[in-house]
Amino acid sequence: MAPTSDEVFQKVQEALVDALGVDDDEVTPEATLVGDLGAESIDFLDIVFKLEKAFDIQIPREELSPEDILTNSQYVEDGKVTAEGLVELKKRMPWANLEEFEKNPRVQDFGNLLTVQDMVRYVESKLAA
Amino acid sequence: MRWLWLDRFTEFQSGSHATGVKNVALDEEALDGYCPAYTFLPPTLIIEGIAQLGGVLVSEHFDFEKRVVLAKVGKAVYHALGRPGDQLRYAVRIDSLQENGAFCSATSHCDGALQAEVDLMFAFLDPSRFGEESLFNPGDLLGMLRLMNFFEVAVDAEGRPLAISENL
Amino acid sequence: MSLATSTGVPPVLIEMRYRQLDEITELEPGRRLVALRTLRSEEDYLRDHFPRFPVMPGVMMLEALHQAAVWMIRTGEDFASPVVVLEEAKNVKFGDFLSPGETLEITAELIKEEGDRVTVKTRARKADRITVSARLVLRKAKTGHAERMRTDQDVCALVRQQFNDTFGDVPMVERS
Repeated sequence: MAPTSDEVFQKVQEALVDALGVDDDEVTPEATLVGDLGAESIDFLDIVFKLEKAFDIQIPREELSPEDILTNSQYVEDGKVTAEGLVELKKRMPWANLEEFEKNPRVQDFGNLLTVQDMVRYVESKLAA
Repeated sequence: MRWLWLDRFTEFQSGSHATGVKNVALDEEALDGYCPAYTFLPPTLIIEGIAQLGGVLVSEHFDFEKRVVLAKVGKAVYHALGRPGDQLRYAVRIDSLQENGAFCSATSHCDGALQAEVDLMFAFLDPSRFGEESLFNPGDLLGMLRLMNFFEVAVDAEGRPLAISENL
Repeated sequence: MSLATSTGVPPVLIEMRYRQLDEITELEPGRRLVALRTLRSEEDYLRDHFPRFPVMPGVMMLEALHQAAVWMIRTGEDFASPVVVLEEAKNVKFGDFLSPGETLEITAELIKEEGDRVTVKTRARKADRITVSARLVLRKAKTGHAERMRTDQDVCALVRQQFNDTFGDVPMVERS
């Protein structure tokens, strides 16, 4: 039986608490992994491992870190993602809420945008597949 | 003081698991005055011994080409101290191998009783940040592994004696 | 006659060879301790770690955090416990390397005490980078030796002496 949205949130919250050493109440749906929870690049490896274990899913690197799009000159101009690039990002990460990012799509800001809610929706999309 | 916190490999299966022993000796520098008149092995050195065992396990899987460093200790739980005369038996297994790092979980036993449990995360040094240079000179790591009985026990995934890697 | 009162206790009993704190710069007993540790290029184990890239082993930085936590606890209870045992190290994250000549500033802060278990937040910083951080749980304990051996009381006295011999006069902060 597929887990409920609440159950997914609980397990994602647990994985983030374990990986980042933060408290339960800091892991709110709107909290950003990098800005609010202090995740660094070394932590993403840990988060991926814990989510794969918790949900028995595989998380290919490019699904959470679209570096290939962000470093492609076809999709980036003057440090900002182009309209074409945004289309690619949305295709790659349909579960992510890119609204805020779209307002000022600077490549350097991309890493900061992922929220806990985005991770929950990502896991749900993998479970539904 | 050398930085070898594992005395001997007792088992090693490529890509899977390994075991080793660490003898706690009274004349070790690390124990000298650690707790006056009641000394014991600094608990963090148990993590190091396990990390050396796990680090070789992970590194060997990639034919010693990747530079493997300890990135995180998710959790280390201790149930007893390592006292002079104790022999700690470490057992490590690989839980996950990824492009940028690996995860291992391990136990330490003393006289058959669980002494510690450790979860480790290793990272592979990124060439763009740290260049391509190896951490060791040719032969350095080979020497350390020989000292620790590695080639006497190491087998590949099929159980055949492990060949000595060109990269050592 | 207790060991502590005999004349000329041999230094080998008191000096901690695996000491990881050079100097304590701030101490609020039982609550907070700040110390320094400089990596010297002549430290012997560097030839193994690593031959071509000498850096302080992460686990040695972790030991600095551990020792800071232990002294923070010991000074807070006037060395009442013969042993302060590490029970758990959690979320130990290694953020950066420490090269010869560089100095770590180590901080240990009390989070909570539950009976004889003490939870301490620790971190080590060089310039503006955190090189290692960890959450430690330690337990104030006895050696478990029989009363007749008088081990506990002797160890306490020797540890107190070790602290004084090693760190001398430490800048104290008033208990808040």
